[in-house]
Amino acid sequence: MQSNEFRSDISDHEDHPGTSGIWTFVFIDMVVFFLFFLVYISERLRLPDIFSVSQRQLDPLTGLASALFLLTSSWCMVEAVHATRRNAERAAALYLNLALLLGALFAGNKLIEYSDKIALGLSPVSNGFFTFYFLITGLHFIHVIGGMVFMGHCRMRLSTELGSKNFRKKMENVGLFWHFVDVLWLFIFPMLYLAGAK
Amino acid sequence: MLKSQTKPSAIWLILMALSLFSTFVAEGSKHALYAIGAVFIIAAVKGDLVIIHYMEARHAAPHWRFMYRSWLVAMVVLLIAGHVIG
Repeated sequence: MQSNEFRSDISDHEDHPGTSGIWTFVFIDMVVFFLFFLVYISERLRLPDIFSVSQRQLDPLTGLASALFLLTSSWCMVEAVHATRRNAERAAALYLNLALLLGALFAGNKLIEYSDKIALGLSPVSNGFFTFYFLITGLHFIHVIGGMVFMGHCRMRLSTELGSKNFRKKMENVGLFWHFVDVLWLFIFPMLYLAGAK
Repeated sequence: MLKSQTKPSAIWLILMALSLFSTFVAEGSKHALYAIGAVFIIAAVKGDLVIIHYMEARHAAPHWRFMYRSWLVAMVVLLIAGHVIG
């Protein structure tokens, strides 16, 4: 019993959003993505013309639409977490549904973009730029799907677990992860779609 | 209970406007290097808004706020330097 209290004290501060575990996990993931960006930049410096010309084959409006879907989904997730803290079930359900819908729109938009590129004969082995394009956006896409699975889990448990401290922490953790996915796209979008395209 | 001081909807509006503005700057500017600097600085500003207001890092343990913001700075320096040198 005493050991449970000890564990709770170090991992789950009542006034802090989420648990220390999710802050650690997300930061490690951020560092991993930083390394991908670092290698992308080093390859871009080695092959600037290939990267610039290849970037022109991406549609900035598609990347912008993805950004707007994720930013709006993030806002809905914030509102869902706030509603959970107020024990407002209908509002939490509404905002979770909207966050999921917008996540699905992002995923659909990305799949259409992938299919367009593949139809044009572009693949991860086409050139250095498209290796990074498929690798970085693909890893980000996996994070989006993971976040949606977590949100779906929370949506299914909402009516039975709302009001418990564990569920509030769970929602805060899922929210933190979802906002991190959003922050990643805030850099992926300008790096791949906007900066340096000729 | 955590209290939010800024409405999430107000932050969302700022984020949407900055996203539209950075795309406009990147696509419309005749000065490529300035545009690159601008879009990555705007990305970092947006990232900071999400980290502070949506992730509620201002209510988290201070070292997380410092480390997450340091990541933003490292990203901007890497991306701007990588494009300017190239």
